[in-house]
Amino acid sequence: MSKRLWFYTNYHCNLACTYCLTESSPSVPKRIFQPEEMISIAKQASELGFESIGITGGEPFLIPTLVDTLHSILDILPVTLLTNGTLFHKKRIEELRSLAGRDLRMQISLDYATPQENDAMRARGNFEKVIQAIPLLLDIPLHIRVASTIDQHTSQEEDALNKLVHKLGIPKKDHIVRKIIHRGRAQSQGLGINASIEELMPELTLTVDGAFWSPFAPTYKDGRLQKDLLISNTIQPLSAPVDILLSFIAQIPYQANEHTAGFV
Amino acid sequence: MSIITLLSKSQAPITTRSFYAQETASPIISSIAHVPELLLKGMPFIGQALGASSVSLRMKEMMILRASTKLHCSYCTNTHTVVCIQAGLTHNEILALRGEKEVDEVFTEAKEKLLIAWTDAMSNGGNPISTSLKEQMIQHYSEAEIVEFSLCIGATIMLNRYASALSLPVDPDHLRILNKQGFSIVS
Repeated sequence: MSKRLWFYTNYHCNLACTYCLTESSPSVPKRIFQPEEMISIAKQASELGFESIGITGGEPFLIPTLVDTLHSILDILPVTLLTNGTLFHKKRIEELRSLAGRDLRMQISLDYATPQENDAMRARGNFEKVIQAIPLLLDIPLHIRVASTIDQHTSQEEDALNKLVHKLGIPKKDHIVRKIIHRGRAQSQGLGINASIEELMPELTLTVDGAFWSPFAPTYKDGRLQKDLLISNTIQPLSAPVDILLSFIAQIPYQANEHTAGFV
Repeated sequence: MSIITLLSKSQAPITTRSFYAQETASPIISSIAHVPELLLKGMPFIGQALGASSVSLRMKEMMILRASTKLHCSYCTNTHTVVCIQAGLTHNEILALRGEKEVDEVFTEAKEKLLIAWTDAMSNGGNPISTSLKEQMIQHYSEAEIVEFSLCIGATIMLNRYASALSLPVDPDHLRILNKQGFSIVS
């Protein structure tokens, strides 16, 4: 079992990507994980032996108090934060300066090397916003990673993307390429690869709906939560879902592959 | 029609799937599966309280069917009529437990009649249980048996209310068995 604990901060998003696991969009219910509860659970996670926190959504930066919450969680454990990278206006960049030097990795989504290809899966203007934001974030300085979620890349597209990421100042070790998982909206759109429980790394993931097997698990399809990878509705005390997951893991021969090893 | 989705094995949380022998499971399991932590801890208790133990399955099923009848739970009454058949109770015994014949006309053993009276008393809402009935139980049964009986009846009443509240559907195979064996279907 991974020693990273994940939180879904919220389910709403300013984008509505075609492969989104959680059917996030501007119009879905926000389903916000209360910051105080996240901080409390992060403390429990540290006591239970977790070594880092992952934060995803929805788009976490739609939560106005996110940076304050990040500071509080970073006082407890290192954090990896996933973002679509489109909400880094000048004021937000200034706010993020306070996070310089903290043990934070920010992972930004960028799928293709051209706006036409990238924005077709995500949203118009997404590409430009991301490539403008990355240098500003690196300049703070923050530890920035790029995650590319793809259905199928040609070798030309892959080369072009690698060159672009390199040009943006992201080292190869900080560029993650992963396959679309056939769940949520990706499933509705006929995209992605099937991933069985044996292939998904167990990384306990908490949302307002409960505790799940991994960050690939708390998916929504046709507006309904998919419960097949639900561990428990109870999330506190954290030891409750941890105990259930640990006792269950012993029965499952986990066999990760390169595409399903984890969110980061 | 159940008011909540009865989860199939493929829909059910991974931690609950060991409770599914096939793609579908009983409505009790496939409804509680919405809350895996409850199923994981609750089903072992329910299984122990309602299943065969040091108390015979016959006695457990007598209590379950009687309590379910008293609580007017159609799901449990229909389902456990079938289980009573499988447990070897006679047609007349089942009818008596369902209130369709007089208990005294069918059951002859004093201890079994006492068990039915205990079930009736426990299933009678919040009304107190008479001292004389408690004394008879103490005379005829061990303390361990009284605990098992009372928890079996209590767990049945809990499930009666649960199944009725959620309108859990009776397995069509059970309905066919009831028809074939000449029992009316309780609605």
